[in-house]
Amino acid sequence: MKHFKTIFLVLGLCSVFSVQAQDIVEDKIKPAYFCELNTGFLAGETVSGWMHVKNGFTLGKFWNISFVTGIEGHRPGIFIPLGFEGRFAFNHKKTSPFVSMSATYLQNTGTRNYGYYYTQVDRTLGFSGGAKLGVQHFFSKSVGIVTSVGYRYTFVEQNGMSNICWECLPYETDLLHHMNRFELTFGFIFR
Amino acid sequence: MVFLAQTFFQDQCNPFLLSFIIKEILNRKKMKQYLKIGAWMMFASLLFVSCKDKMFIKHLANVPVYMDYELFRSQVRYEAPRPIKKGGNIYLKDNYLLVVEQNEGIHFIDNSNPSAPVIKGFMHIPNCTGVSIKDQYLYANSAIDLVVIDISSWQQPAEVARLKDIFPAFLPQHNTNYPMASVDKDKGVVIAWEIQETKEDLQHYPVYFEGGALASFVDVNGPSAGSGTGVSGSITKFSIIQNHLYVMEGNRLYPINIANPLSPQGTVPVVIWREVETLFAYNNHLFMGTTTGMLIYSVSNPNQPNQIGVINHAQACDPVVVKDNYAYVTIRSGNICGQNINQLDVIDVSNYAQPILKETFQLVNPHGLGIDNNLLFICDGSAGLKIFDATNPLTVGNNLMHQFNNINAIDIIPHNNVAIMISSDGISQYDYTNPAQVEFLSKITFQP
Repeated sequence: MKHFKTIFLVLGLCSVFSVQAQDIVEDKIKPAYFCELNTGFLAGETVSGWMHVKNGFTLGKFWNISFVTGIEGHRPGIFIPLGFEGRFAFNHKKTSPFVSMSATYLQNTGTRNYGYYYTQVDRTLGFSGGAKLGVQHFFSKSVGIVTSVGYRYTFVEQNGMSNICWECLPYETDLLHHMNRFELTFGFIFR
Repeated sequence: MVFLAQTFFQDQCNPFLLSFIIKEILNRKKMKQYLKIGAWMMFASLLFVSCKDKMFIKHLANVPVYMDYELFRSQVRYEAPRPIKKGGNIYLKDNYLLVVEQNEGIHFIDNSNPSAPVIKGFMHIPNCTGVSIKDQYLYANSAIDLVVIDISSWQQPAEVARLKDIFPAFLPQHNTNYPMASVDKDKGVVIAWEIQETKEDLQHYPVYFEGGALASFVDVNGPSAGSGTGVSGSITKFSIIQNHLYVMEGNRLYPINIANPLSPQGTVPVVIWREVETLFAYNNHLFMGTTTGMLIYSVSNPNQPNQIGVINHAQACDPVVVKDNYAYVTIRSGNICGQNINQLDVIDVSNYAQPILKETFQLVNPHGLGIDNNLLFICDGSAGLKIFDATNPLTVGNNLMHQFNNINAIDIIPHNNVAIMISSDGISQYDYTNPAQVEFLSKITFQP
């Protein structure tokens, strides 16, 4: 519930930024703020979904950078990503292909045991990064859609007390997950 | 970018692939080309996805220490006497007492005068945990191998045969506070463990169940052991019946034909679905002390012993000895032994197929035991050595004759009126020629 509150707060901020950004969208010099709401899925050995909220600004004609947060499902659990995405658009028209790269820190949403490996998980953290190719299309000066495909690598480390060894007392263990995923994205842009 | 490149490299994915694709994208201007690039990107993504997930486990573990097979098999040699650091199984043959130094070899002690035993030499046998003798040949395990040593001259024993890879699942004792890391047998023989941080692929998790860690053995003192054998303590996993040596390793009983000592022949091991701790041969039968009960195996087919009787008890450790129609089983608790039970069970084995528990007597923390004539010797851990009158087996526990305190008694061989007892700090001998007055004879103190 706490996380949903956070998401609504970010959505609200997006709206404010959108209104503020309308008048300066054509300005090539000043940064233009934008907000993006994305959802998608990660497919590989397992399939999971995610939702992102991005707040960013343009840098010149083609580049923009945004702060990313939201919620993501990964094999070891559910995480809140905190990171950045850089995007390069190939032109400045209504419809523009782009490439982007992102890197996020993953904050887990609570203690979660992972199967029989652990009696208790004390710490979970992760990092995720990837590259995407997509297209953005603006219906008006302030609203557009975006879609992309790409690759995402995710690393999650869990630390806890393992009980997998039947003859031992529980002992401290790190479980390291390296995940490779195909990523499909769809979302809305407000600026 | 650095983060991605590192992770791609770690994952054995091609780190140049991504940079190539980006470069291509930046060089194109037309939409058709973008579409092409998009297709390439899609393809690249799928390529990356085809890199499977990897899961590693990182923790402190018993990491194997290897020795090359050839080097390992050239290690057996007779050396000058050395102090006993920590004695293991004990074995008596004629006037010689053998003491296994766990994982290192065997001390040869001239015990012709029990009042003044003399350590004569040390047979270096890497990863040896047990010993047994028939006629002029000594059989000892050396990790995965069985070695045969000619002891016709006690002064110059020498290896004369070796049965390679007979105990393929052998692993040295490990620190049970930590799990075992994976073993790669191509790297050599596992001769020890080191506690180290290890990172392992979770798909190839340690070999907990392949091997048993303990392969200790000493021989038996029952009448069926056959002529030419010696006498062992009760805490042993080696036993000789006629022309067969039986070795308990892990959860397998290995029958080995030693009719020709220079060419011992292994057969298919018998899987025992319990944790066997001791073997005792008596009257052409094997009595196995397990953590959950006593098993009786017939060796009417010596190459394929089969279970004919069983009596269960709660989880505990339990050496066993047999005399006439009664088996004496000490049951103790402890770290790996389970519940809080410390007792002597007297079991009627007049019918091997239906052993019956007759009496139970409370003890402190019993380990090995031995019986000779009508005296039952019990090593009762910190309560020392206790000697009972076993004239009437059903009241044996009530007939304590002697108790030697202040020793942490572990195992004993009572033979020809001399009891040889190993404790945590040495080997003591007692004369019981006169059961009413047992006399201390000597002690060899360990030098850790």
